[in-house]
This record gives sequence, structure tokens and C-alpha cells, in this order.
Amino acid sequence: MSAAAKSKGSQMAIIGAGSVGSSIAFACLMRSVVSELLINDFNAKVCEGQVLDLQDAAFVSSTKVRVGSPKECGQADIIVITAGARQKPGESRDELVLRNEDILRSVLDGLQPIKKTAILMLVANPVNVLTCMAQKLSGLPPHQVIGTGTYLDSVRFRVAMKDILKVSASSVHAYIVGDHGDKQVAVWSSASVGGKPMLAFEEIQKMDRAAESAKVAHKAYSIIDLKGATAFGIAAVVSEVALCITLNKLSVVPLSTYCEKFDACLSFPVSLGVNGVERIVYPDMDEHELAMVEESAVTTRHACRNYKK
Amino acid sequence: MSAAAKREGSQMAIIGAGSVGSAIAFACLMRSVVSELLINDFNAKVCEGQVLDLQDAAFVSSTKVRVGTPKECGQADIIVITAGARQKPGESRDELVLRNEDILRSVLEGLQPIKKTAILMLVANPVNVLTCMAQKLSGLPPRQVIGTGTYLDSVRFRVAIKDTLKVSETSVHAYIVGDHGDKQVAVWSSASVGGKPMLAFEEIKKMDRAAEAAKVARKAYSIIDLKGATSFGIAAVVSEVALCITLNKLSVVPLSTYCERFDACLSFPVSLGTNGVERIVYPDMDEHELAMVEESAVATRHACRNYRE
Repeated sequence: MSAAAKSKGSQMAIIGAGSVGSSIAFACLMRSVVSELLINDFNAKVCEGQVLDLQDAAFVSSTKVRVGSPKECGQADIIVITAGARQKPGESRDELVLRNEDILRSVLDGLQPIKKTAILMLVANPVNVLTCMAQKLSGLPPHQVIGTGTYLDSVRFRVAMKDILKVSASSVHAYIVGDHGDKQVAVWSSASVGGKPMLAFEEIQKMDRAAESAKVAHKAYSIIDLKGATAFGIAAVVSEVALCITLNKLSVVPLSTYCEKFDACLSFPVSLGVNGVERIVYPDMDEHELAMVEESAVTTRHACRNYKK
Repeated sequence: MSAAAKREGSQMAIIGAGSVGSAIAFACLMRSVVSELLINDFNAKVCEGQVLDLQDAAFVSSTKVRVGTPKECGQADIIVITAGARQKPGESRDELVLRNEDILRSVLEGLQPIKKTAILMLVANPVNVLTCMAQKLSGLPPRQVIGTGTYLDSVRFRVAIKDTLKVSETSVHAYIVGDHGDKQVAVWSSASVGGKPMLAFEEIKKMDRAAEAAKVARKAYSIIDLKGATSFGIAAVVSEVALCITLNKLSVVPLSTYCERFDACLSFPVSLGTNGVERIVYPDMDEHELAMVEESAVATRHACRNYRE
């Protein structure tokens, strides 16, 4: 075959080969998400070890897995950035911000030049701020730069509700929006199951909803206290986001992106496909929920002030 | 519904919530292997942490995940035992044997009474010896007690060969048999790709085959040196074995089981389905390969002498 006729299958690059990055890679291998996975980490030894282990798992989908240089990673169709310090037990996500801004700046420099059609996905925290930063510094159109936002929180909320209602998590149509931190907003008012408003269910009316939402917001800390870190939940979420992209699903999922309605980078349901964000959908919110989102918008705008045009 | 009419979906129990056990659980969640996953570990804190993290990933397949008591685990359709000390860098699998025999005895006691139709899968090392022990002590018919054996080694062999031949690893029809240790036997003589004997390929003739086989046998140590432990490869293998069982695939895969031909518990290709091992298939082997297998049989019979009738 001549060089010009050759085309490649889809490629995903994962920056950061720690427990999150390697779990994301593993999930993608189990689910046949892309043709080729590139993994990069400044610690070459750990990176190589993860790649060797992942290559042993790749037979499930015949995915190619290898170590990628930053420049090679910049040419992938989907670039997932997990590189960043993890939350220490008790540490808030915002205390990570300064450390992770430096890391992100350095990662983005290394990726250049970035493929024009690439979708960049931020996983590190604080994810809204880092997504805003990446939207400004990557050179990619904003609709191609997303963060995992409140997708995992929304999953956790659905997991918390499903047993009470005796339904599957995916049948709980509810979104957590705004910030992926302690200030996330559970939009109870427009949540539904089978077309019925969640607030109309007896079991939900009897529930201490504020306590339940707080537990969801704190779930990461609970897991960190028990096993040291979280990996599987976020890895499953990223594999799902990646499938939305590769299959051009246009599924409506809560991700971090610039929201014109609030003039801030927040997490809201977006329809996601191979070209990135097609549209944002703002769920109906009551006064209280809207007020909490406006608060998050103010805080996020302030945190992102150095990255606004 | 009356109690008598209620049915349950398929259940898998994983004993051991370390990096291997949790990776197995994660792979099964990503691949929709069972309806319900029970995880058990003597360290209740770590177990709970893993379960919380896994519950956040389960939305992908709507699998139920929870902590299981030993007795509940004994009632699962598939019981995977990962509990055991891991190989330290440089430690051989046989040095683990005494420690892991004690752990296995204790685990098997806790599982009793075991569901009569359960398939018991040993992952801990030395896997042939522990499989033999479990076949004697579990109370289950031997065909329902298997070990992961040389399945992962066979995968590693196929991964090592595929790039040389420019094929996918699943198209490399080759088996590593015998021992899952340093003495594993790569059956080059009957290996093939596309119906052509592997030894007839120019690239393979030019290769230092003994060196390649030795690298495969040592791959676990290489990964352990680089990242501290292996998990993804074995997790993928276990998820594949579990799917063979739940879907009654009857795929021919290399697993540890009692081999009448050699009067020892060794790893050979078996057809595996819902009822366990249907038949063993002995690949054609040349004199040299056969001699190495006979050696492994002697060593394994000796190590298992306390568990042989």
C-alpha cells in the first residue's frame, strides 16, 4: 500500500499513567473504544510497566497499546489529561488548583501541535478551572475541549437513588450540575423516572434529600479514606465519554464546558459527538438550584480570571 | 411474586479485593459478564472502598455490586479466588506456596456450603498446586474447579509474536502449557497462523525462539519491577473465562485442571462452559516439549502430594 493511501484507526492518548489513567486505558480495552491507545507519563518506568500490563489485556478487543511521546499524543483523536496531583485525604479540590495549573500548562506545551480535530478531555481537578484553562491555551475550538465535570457525580446520585426506587441507575434521569466539588447542584426539581417527577415519589418525599446530596458530593472522600484513591468510577465515565465521541452518539451527558448562559465554565448536560459539544441543554431548575449555580459561576469566573480573553 | 417463583440473575463472587480482585471486578462490569458481583476481603475497609468505587462504574452494564459474606460468596455461580500473597520482586511462585496453601484452606472453609453447580476459579499462585488442593478440599466435582493456569502466558506469547507477523494476537493460534511458572512450555511445534505452521514462517525461523519464550515466562517479573504488581492482564483473562462459563461458550482455552494423561494438575487447553470443563485437548507436541511437560508433571505431583488420593 502506498503511504498516501494508508489511514489509521481511531487513536486515544492518555496523559498520566497513574491509577486513573491506567484504569481509563483498561476500561477502553475492555469496551473496544479505539483502535490504538497511547499512554504517556513523565515517569517512564511506571508508564512502561502499565503499558506492558495493558498489552496483556488488549486481546479482548485487539486494541494496540503503546507508550506515546507528547508529540504523538498531540496527534490522537481523543486526548485525555489525567496528569495532576490527586486529592489527599481531607484536601479540597480547590487546594489542588495551583499545582495542577502548572502541570496542565506544561502538558499542553508538550502536546503541540495538537491535531485540529482532536477532542481534549480534562479529568484532573479542579476540572472546571482546568477545562477553562485548556480551552484558552490549547488552540482548539472550545467545543472540542471538555472536562468530566459532574458526570461522575450524576452517576453517584443515580446509584444512591436506584435501590430506594428499585430501578437501575441508568433509569434515574437526574443531573448534578455546576461544580464537580462540594458545591455541586443536584437538580431534584426536574429529575424523573419513567416520566414521573422524582419529587412525586413517596420514597423521595420522605427522604432527607439534602443529606443524600451531601453524601454524593462527599463520596470521593469516602472512597479515598477507605482505599486510598478513586479510579473505577471515573474510568467508566471516561470510557463512556470516549464512546460518545468515537461513535458520534450525541448522548446528553453532564460535562464541563463554557456555558454562555452563565458566562462561566461549568458542568451541564451537553450532547457530545465526534465533533465535540453539539449543544448544551440547561435542565429546568427551581430558584434555589439556580441560585446555587449562579454562585458557582461567580466563583469559577474568579478562579478562571487569568484565562479569560 | 411468591418466594418460590423468584429467580436470581447470574452471580460472581471474588475473594480478595486487592489490585487483582478489584481489576477483575472492573473488567466484568465493563463487559456485562454477570448480573451481580459479590466482593469479599478479610480487610473490610479496603473491601468497602473497592465496592463503592466499583458501584460508580457499574452503570455501564447495570451490574449490582456489593460486599458479600463468605457464606453468600459460596452460593455464587462463579467463585474467583485471588486471595493470597503476591510475588515479591524476585520471588518465585513456589516460594509463595506455603503461605497461600494456608490462606486457601481458610477461604474454602469460609465458603462452605458451596453451591453444587458453582465453578471455582483459582487465580493465586502457584496456581496448579492450589487448583489441585481446591479440587480435593472444595467438595466440588473436579471439572468445576479450574485455575487460570497458562492462559495469561499464552496471551503474552501471542502478544510477543503478533507484531513480528503483522497479525492480531487472537490470530496467533498457539498455547503455552504445563506450569504457569518459569518452567512453562511454549508449544511452538503445533502453533499456527492462518493454518500455516508457525515454524514455517521466515520471521519465526530467524527468531531466537528460546529467548522469546523465556521473555514471555518472565513478563510478570518485568511488569512487577516497573509498576509494582500485575493486574490488567490477569483481570482480562478472568473476565474472558467468566464469559465462557456464563455464555456456555465451550471455547478452548488453556487452564489448570487435573490431566489424566499426565496424572497431574497442569494447564492445558480445555473447552469450558457453564458446567465447567467439558474436555481437555492435548496439542501435538514434539519430544522436547513433551519431556518438559513430563518434568512439570513430576514436580507438580510432588508439590501436590498431600492432596492426592
